[in-house]
Amino acid sequence: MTENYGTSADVLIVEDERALADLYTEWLADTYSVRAAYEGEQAIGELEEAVDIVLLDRGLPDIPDDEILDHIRKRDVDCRVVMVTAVEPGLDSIDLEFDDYLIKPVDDEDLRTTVERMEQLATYDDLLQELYQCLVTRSVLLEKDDIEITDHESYSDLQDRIETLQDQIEVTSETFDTGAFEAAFRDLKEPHSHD
Amino acid sequence: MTRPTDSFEAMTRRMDKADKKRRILYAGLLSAAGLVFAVVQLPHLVADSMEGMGLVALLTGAILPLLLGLVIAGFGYGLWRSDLPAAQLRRVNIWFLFGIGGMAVVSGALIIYELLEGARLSHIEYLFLDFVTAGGIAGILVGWYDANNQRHTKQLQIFQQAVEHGGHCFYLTSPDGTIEYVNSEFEAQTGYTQEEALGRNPRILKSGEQDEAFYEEMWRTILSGDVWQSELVNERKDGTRQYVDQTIAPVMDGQNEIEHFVAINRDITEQKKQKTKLERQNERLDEFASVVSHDLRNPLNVALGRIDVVRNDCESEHLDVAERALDRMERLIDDVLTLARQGETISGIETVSLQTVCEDAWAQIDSVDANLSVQTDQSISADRSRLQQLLENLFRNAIEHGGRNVTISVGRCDGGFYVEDTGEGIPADAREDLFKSGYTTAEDGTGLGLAIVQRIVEAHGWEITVLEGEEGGARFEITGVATSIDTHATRGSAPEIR
Repeated sequence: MTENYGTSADVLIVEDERALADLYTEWLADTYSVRAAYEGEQAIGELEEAVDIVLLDRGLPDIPDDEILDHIRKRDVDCRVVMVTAVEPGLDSIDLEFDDYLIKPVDDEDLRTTVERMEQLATYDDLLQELYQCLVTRSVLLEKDDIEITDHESYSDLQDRIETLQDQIEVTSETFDTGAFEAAFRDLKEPHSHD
Repeated sequence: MTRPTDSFEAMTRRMDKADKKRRILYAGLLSAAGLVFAVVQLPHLVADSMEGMGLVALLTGAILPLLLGLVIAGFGYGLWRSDLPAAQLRRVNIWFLFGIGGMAVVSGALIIYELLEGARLSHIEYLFLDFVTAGGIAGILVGWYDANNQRHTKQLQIFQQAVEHGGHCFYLTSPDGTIEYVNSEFEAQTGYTQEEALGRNPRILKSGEQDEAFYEEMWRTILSGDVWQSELVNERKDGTRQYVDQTIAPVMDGQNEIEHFVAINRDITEQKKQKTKLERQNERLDEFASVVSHDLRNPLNVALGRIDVVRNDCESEHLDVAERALDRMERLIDDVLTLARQGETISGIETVSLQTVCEDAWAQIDSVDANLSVQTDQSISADRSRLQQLLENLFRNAIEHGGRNVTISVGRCDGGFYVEDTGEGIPADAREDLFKSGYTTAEDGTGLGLAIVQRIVEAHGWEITVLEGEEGGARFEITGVATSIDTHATRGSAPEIR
């Protein structure tokens, strides 16, 4: 999908199931510089060193989901975060600032294309990155198709944020086509229009 | 077999018939009596005319009594046309007889007295008859008034019985909220006796669960003349909580001013308890399913991933078998989660195009050779995603049983739609077990797909029937579906999707 620009990205795998972390490592090790952390505390330690992409499991036994994310945002670690988890997204996912969300089981191809997409995302400016985050969050929430989610205040806030970002992006770059931007990544789920 | 309603209807019919006969009898008797009075006056009229009496004497002596006789006959007719029941007509007749009897005694005594005093009275028998006729009319008027009163009292009694034994707590307050009446159910539900409740304010039932704004809104509604309806928590006299579904309505007087408030409380404590229990059970089931699926997906992911790794080194048919088994496990996890979470609930009913949802469902099916033909473009009211899931499961079921090059058709049937395949069909004796969880005859089925279908059908209030298709395959008919538009007839069949 994208070229690897000489230097390989640093990928941190945070996964308490060792066998799974090892498998991810095997899949990615020939292209990227991969490290694995099997616990939350260990992951926070690893974040001290250079990291471009974090593959983060939810429901780690020693640390709440949002703590690692908070750590990343607070320390201003410039990295993309992909949730790779068996936990289906719910309302509690809205406030988690992730860049993508994969539901287990994932295969070799899923993981590679996602990491490549994250590399591409890193080349965009902040507004586009945030828009992508919001679009992904909306997409995973819609995947669940629960009216409790789509009727929730947080969801409408998210919708508003998406519209604001789209407007801002159109203003800053007249030639920008958000549709092409979305298509460039993948088919993100959008709200149904009523028949 | 006789339905209970049959005998009830027959009974009411019999009662109506008997009542009708009695009404004709009582009204007829009255009319007949009136006619007799009128006819008897005829010779009086003739005699008086022959005697050359003046018009005034004729009028008062014969014509008026004759007319009064006809009036009585008219009353009989009027009663027959009225809505008074037979028992009340009988009452009018009794009063009529009292009137006649009373006047007969009084007039008889008067006439005898006059005669004894030496007065010369002509046509004594007609004089007597005039009095009696007048007495009869008076009797009818009193009877009419009495019968109507009786009827109102009876109606009030029925209302009172209904209020007393209607099974709901019922009370009446003055416009300022002072309790003026409570029924016996009030005591049963709240623990306050009638004596304890009368003269007090319904706030004795306040539990503190509702805030002041709730009561303010309630007062605003009922004072403006509207009906208030809400569920709330009350406190019984013994301090225990009671969930009620409360309706309060203002009762207006002739000047459209609020005279009373009437409150009806339906005890829903048991339903609430059951609902809470069920919700808790569902939450636990949901939690359990989430944990299980989370814990199962990790090792599943490892196994699937490792198979891929091995495939890079060598190809073996064993790997295919293992992978298929793991795929089936993945589907099982998904299905268990679906059953635990969403089976029984639907949200957001909307009008959806069956064809569009079929297309979306088909896109999720991994099938190389199977065909889908949608032969309707009806729009139905459904929860879109649940409907899609239902269709996906039926399509998968058809492919699992009918082979990978099966043809599946979706079309309109009476009251809904059908999904039919060209597979080998389902034997009649297997149809009953079809929707049970875990029932599967397919080698790689989960046995939950059709159980989910049935849950979705039930959640929508639809019905599903399994039949044999035209070509011997399985045909699932989903009926009781609210359909909005079907342009199928005018636009011809929808394009085939493959």
